[in-house]
Amino acid sequence: MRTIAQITGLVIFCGAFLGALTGAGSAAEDDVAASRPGRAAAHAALTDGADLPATPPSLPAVSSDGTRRARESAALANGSNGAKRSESAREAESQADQHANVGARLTREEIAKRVAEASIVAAVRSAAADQHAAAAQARATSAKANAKAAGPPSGLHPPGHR
Amino acid sequence: MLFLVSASVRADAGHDAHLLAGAQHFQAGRFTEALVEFRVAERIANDGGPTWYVAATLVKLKRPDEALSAFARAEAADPTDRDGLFDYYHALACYDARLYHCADRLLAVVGDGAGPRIAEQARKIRGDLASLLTSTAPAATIDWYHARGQAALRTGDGALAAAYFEEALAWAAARPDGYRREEATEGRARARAKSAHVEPKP
Repeated sequence: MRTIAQITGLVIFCGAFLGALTGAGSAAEDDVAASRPGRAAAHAALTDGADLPATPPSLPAVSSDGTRRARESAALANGSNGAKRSESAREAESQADQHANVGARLTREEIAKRVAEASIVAAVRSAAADQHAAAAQARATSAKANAKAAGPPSGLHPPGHR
Repeated sequence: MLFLVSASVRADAGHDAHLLAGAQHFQAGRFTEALVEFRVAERIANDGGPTWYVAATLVKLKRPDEALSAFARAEAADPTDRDGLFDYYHALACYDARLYHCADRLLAVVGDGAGPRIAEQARKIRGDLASLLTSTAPAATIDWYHARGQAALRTGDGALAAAYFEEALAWAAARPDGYRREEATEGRARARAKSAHVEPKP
């Protein structure tokens, strides 16, 4: 008889426990802001900060140097048609153009390379800083949580905590 | 069991405090500080919820590739948290990475759930993209997406690589010659296979 009572009690306890869990779940869904103020605040901040893109859309492209050089060559060829210039003068001008183009291209490539290098360094530094700061804070938080879990030596809980 | 429940509640409370701190920084425009707080929350949370905020903050910091990786991580870890607001930020990450088809797809589903202002902004961006998306991309543009996809594959970021190959594929599909279309399909498959592996928390 006593065993039956114990089993009945256990079943009631389990039922109540499960009921409390599901009840708490639906209540929490109804009041996310109250139970998780951080998440609600983060959502609100994101909503306020959602703005429009700063630049209009534009298609990217790999280096158009090849296309540009071809166009320049075509332009040079067209310009020479019908011109009363000697063959040697055209040759000299063409060579000068070519040198100027190569020089300009090298300068642009050099600048692009330097900018890319600087961007990579900045990105690596930035990522490293984020990671280090996050790791340090995570460690501190974990230490605090452990200290709280251990509780005060007297067994009393701080106000507001049960 | 009680110990487990108690530990879970503690972690939940802990990460929520960091979300709150991150929200304050975000609101004040201090996005680097917000990112640190959200990353701490991400590390100590039991779910992938905070990763969505990490991703959105990376958008504000103009780090679209990292944001796209974080969105992929969030989607994999906690798909139930996805909503119109996160879709909007995800679309901005795509836009900044010049993945315009990706941005348009996401903006199309933002809807009014994210609020009337954001819904209106989504419509405006889609309007701005409309003429571009109906144009034919030159080969050099498609080459650019392939180059980005390959670069992401080299760094092991399968999700990001898949996004770039997907875009290359979308642009190639609109061209009569289907420029590098098969290559894009193949690249996307390889990228997806790579992203199927579990991506660790940062």
